[in-house]
Amino acid sequence: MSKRPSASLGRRLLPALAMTTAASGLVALLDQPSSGSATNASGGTTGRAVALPGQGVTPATTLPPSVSSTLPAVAAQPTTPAVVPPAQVPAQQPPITPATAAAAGAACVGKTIDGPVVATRWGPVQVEAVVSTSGRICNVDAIQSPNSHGRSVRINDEALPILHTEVMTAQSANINGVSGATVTSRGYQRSLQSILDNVGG
Amino acid sequence: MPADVRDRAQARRPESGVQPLQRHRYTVFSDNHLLSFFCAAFGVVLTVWIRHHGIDHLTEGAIPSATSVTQLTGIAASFAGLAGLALAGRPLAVEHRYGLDRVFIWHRILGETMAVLVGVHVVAGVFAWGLGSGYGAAILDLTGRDSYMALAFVGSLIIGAVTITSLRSIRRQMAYETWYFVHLLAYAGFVISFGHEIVWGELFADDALSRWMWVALHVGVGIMLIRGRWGRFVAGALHPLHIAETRKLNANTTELRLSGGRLHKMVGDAGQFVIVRPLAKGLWWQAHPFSLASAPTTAGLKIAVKSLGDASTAIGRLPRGTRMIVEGPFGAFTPRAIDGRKVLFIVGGIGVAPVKAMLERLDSRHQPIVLYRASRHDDLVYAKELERMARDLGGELLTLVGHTATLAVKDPLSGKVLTKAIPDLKDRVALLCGPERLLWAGRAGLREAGVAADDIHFEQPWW
Repeated sequence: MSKRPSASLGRRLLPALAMTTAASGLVALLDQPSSGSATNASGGTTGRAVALPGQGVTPATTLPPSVSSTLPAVAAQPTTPAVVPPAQVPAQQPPITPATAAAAGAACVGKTIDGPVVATRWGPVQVEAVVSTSGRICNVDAIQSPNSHGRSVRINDEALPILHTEVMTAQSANINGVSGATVTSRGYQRSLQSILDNVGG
Repeated sequence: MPADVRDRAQARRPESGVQPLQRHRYTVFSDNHLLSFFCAAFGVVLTVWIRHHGIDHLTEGAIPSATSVTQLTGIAASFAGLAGLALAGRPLAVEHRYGLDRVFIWHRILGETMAVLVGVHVVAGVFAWGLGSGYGAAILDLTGRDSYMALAFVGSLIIGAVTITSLRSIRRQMAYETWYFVHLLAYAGFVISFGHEIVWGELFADDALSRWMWVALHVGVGIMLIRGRWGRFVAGALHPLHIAETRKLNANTTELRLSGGRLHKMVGDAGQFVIVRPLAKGLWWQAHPFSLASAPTTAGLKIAVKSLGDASTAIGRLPRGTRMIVEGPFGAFTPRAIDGRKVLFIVGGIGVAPVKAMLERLDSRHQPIVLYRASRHDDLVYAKELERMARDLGGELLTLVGHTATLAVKDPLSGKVLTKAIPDLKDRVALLCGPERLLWAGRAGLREAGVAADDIHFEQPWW
């Protein structure tokens, strides 16, 4: 063996360099977070814009601004209740809960009250409830829910109708919540409880 | 020549008489403290997991339990990885006590554990996510549609690739450096996965204590790595040694004496090895371990280089004055393992070098017997020195030369043969050094002869 070592640095480095390139390329290709940067996650003053990339089910749902609330993001107390004609209530429902809302709206008339914004781990939760003078919950709906991650949006799309049904059945904030959406459930309950406390007190 | 200047500079030092290198001082610090730190940090994060109802969630239906498993395996994988990285930093106290071979074996076990945990973490994560939003959506989310997940996904792929290339059967087919450069990517895998831990890990987002413990743990391990692994390398590069003397021992073995650098500040003992990176064309990017062939002194480190491959052949031919980056000495294969008892060495091949070094540091209590196995007489090196040193200490050198088929006994390292050749075998502590086959054969024979497992020492080949 009179020759220099045949192995060269370049040849030994090649697999590692190839892997690095492949990894960087893969990250560049895959990294398309559907995060809140595109949606209006923090403000929420004009309702929510929900983007569901890659899912043609619910393209985009834009709610009108809530009738009475002026500062939902900082509201620690329910804002001044405003009387809303019952006919208007169904129009305010997001498409995910149309049937129940319409049915409830016919028999139950009350004030529409916005609950406080509850900050959770995954984003703000705020509910709006229609409560009759007798304290009955005619309708409840989340006007804000965590939407800064694609996963939150999909989980909440499933969880919010369940929470709605649970509240309508229980007629209180004392509900089980949805497993897998514990954080949103807790925020939902707290926001609703605050409305009910204010109505009762 | 700068090398000579350095030699003279060292000769002028007032304390310049040739002295043995300082030995490592064994303190409880570091290994115990390191371990305590790890346990404490793991305890804190585990407590946080429990406080977040991690255990309760395990029994609360599919999504909570899968989420809980995802969290737990994620944390455990990170801990295994961090511990493995801490060991890659070669913490000196641990290394000197248990040997670099054990450190690397633990590193491998931890790495494999981490890979398995990452696998469970990924599967449980997809499961938990998929139950909430469908598996197609979950996979899209987890591979990049959610923030930091593309990085984490590619990070897990890198960890997987690094683990696969480290499986022995695959690793054997690769050149050491090819494997090593791929292995370095594990750092990248670790770094790019960190984002998703902080963003998605509920334990860290909700709990400031666990978040800061987590960050502190990563920073601490990072510092250990930079200081222990790369800092030592840089220190070696700033103060390289050089070949002061070469001596041919036989047709294919050369002894090199390395001198210069900061020998007076080095810590080392007989029986240890150094990792050498010659600063010569075509060799500078390769590092090779060599046993010290002589007890290390401030006069220099002697290594015996047997040409076994391209690189070792080239290193054996390097001219005087060639500079080398030396890391170490490493290893727990030192006279400490003998602890004043009678000793038997079983050596083969170039494994004779550290035994010769150790004999220089032994005394008549040890009555060393050296059983030297070689296939040809020409292969024996240091035979005369070994014989003289062993006899001076009341022991002897037994050589066992020839191919196994030509020997008088069928298995020269069997328990029966060993007991017959060495009557006081059971009183001795046995140190083995040589090719892997010799180690396992010798170990089996010694166990058969009734030597306690604790009295058999050898460094396992970690390559």
